[in-house]
Amino acid sequence: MSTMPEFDYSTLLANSIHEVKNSLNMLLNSVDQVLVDQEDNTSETYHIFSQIQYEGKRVNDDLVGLLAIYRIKNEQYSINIDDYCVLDFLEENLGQHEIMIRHRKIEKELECDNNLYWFFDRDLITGVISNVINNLYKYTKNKIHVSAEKEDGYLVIRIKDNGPGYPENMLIVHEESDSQKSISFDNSNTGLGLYFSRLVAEQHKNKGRSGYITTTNEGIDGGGCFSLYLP
Amino acid sequence: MAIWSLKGKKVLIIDDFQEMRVILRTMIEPLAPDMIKLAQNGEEAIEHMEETKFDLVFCDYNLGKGKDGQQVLEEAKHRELLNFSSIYMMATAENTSEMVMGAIDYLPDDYISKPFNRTVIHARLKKLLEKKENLNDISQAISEKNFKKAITYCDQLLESKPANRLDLLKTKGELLIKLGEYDKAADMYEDIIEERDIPWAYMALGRVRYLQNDYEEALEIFEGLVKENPSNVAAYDWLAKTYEAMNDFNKAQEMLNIGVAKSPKSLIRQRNLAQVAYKNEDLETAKSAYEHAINVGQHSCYKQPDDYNGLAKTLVDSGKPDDAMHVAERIAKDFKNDSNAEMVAAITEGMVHTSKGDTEAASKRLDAALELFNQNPQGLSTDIALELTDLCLSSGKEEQANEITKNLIRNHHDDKDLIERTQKIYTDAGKSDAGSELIKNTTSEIVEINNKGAHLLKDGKLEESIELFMKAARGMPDNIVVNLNAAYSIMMQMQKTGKIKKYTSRVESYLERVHKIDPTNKKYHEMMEMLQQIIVKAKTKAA
Repeated sequence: MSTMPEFDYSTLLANSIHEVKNSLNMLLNSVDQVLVDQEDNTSETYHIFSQIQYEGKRVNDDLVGLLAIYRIKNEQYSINIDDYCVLDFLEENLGQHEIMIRHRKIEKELECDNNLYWFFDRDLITGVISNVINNLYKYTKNKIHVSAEKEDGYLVIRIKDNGPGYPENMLIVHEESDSQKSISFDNSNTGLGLYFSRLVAEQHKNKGRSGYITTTNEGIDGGGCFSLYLP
Repeated sequence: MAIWSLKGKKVLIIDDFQEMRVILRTMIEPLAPDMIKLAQNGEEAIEHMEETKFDLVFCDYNLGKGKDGQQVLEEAKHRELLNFSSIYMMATAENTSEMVMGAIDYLPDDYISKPFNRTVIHARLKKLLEKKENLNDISQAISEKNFKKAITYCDQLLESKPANRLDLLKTKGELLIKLGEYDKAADMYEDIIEERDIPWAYMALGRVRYLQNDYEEALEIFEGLVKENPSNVAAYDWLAKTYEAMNDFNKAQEMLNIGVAKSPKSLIRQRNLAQVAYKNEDLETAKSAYEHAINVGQHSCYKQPDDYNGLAKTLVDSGKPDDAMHVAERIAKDFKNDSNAEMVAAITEGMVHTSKGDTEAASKRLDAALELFNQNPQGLSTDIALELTDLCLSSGKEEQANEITKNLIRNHHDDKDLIERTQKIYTDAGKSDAGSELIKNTTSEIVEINNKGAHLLKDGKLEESIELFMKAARGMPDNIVVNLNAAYSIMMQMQKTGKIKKYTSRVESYLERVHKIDPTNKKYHEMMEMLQQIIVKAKTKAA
């Protein structure tokens, strides 16, 4: 009789996430295909598939976040810092959400110098931005404003909307010495997203300084403003 | 509509899922390439690449059973199945950093994380094509192995302080390292680090310090890297390599153990761990690491029968000769139509039989190995050749042992470590004097040839010196000095006679050998440059 091998719950979880992500990837690509082929983007079909795509992306973002958190906490995520053209990078990130932005008739604006290059882990920061944008659909009235600039030795990426803004318990202020305040998971999805974002920001270090995030309600017309600071 | 296209370009899409291949094809089709081929696994992809030189290869990292995307890339580059201008794009479902930290020569041009849509892939491709175009001269020069010229192109582009400055510096640094210009490379990396903490710059600086034999400094840099980022597996690999160079094999094993625990799927890492553990007489670790190396490497172009030999030796030492025999027998199964592997298999089986005291069976396998050796004496790695010597000596085949030793020493007469190990084998067999006599005679034979040739050169007797060195190089094709001398004499002749075409490829093939044996050899680059100059001079004369 063979004995059961020791049950490694965390590895199982990580592997399952990987599997689910692959299926999801296939699903999202197929939905994309349907949307691209639709001539009439006001049809009911188009609307339903957009909704499927949106929810699928959210699931994907959460899985990416969970997997990254797991890896970082287990010292298995080897951060890969390189320099990238920030404008290209942000355009690509918005491009990933193109269909949804068009469908929800959101006015998007991107503000970034063409010659701005910065250092970061492309996969991780893509995860952060995707998370923020996907959340923003829910709350924004009809605007999204993305900007990036150099500020005091940091690259600051800001994502603003014109929705009702973050609730009190989701506002994050950066305090120089203290570690950032604990993030409430009450509003589950946003909580996970912010926790992930902060962890990712902290992985970015340069000359003794670490990255951080802030959330304020200084967006458009008092809407939310998410800022990511990368040293 | 897109104003750019893939017109005139050939595209290969590799993915194990049929649906994914179709989706990718519909994403690429609007860009109107001349050809789109689909492959469902690495083996099929390689077959396509053998037939067609693709301009764009789009490959999923995870290809199910068989080769993964990285192994496909490695084999394609290794076998030169891709043009220097080809783009290799790897799609991944998760974090790419571990792949990025791999061998610098075998990186894809870009990674793209799944899921991605049409807009994103088109934007990426456009950027990549522009980038390739921008670096065209540099990659062309690199593909011609003219690294000096490539550096000049880098410098030209750097002059305008472009936004992709660091990208160019990264390339330039690797070129400087290839040329053996370690001081210049180190200065460059230190300047970059001065500006900001960039892991790849630290990594490269550490490698340079290692190459400069500044091991203390190298250790400090690599330790800094793992302290900052405990999952930087490549830094652990280099820590191990550095400790090994310092003869601290216990520390080396400690580092490799950490690396393997964090990332077990690397053939080279497992192989290194196995070899160090065997040296440390940690048979349990050696066994497990060799087994992993064999499993992980099943579809890699780096797989070697030597790993099976190592595992068999480990098993014999652990008192499990029957298991060892199974491993030896697997060589024939896993390496088909490979006479070198056949030789390693025979040697390994001979070794196992010897350990069991079955001298008759051992002698049979040994004879088979020796027959193969006589057909192709250059096929064996030095480790296995030494093992064959050892086996011959212990079974009374001293004459054959001497032949193998002579061949080894002829090809590596200035390798002190090898000579020491050879001497030890003779000493252990109770033939210390015979061994040292043989080594001494063979070494002085080479020295004599080189001296004689040098004299002939000095006296202007070019033809005689060419004949001497060419003959010597035939007999000892892995001897660096002899190959360099052969190339040099022919170049002198080219200069004298102005006959270029007749000799160029011959010089190149001698120099290529040198570069293959020792990629850090500085003389190689000096002579390659000399050859270029001779060609240019002859051309201007002719015009």
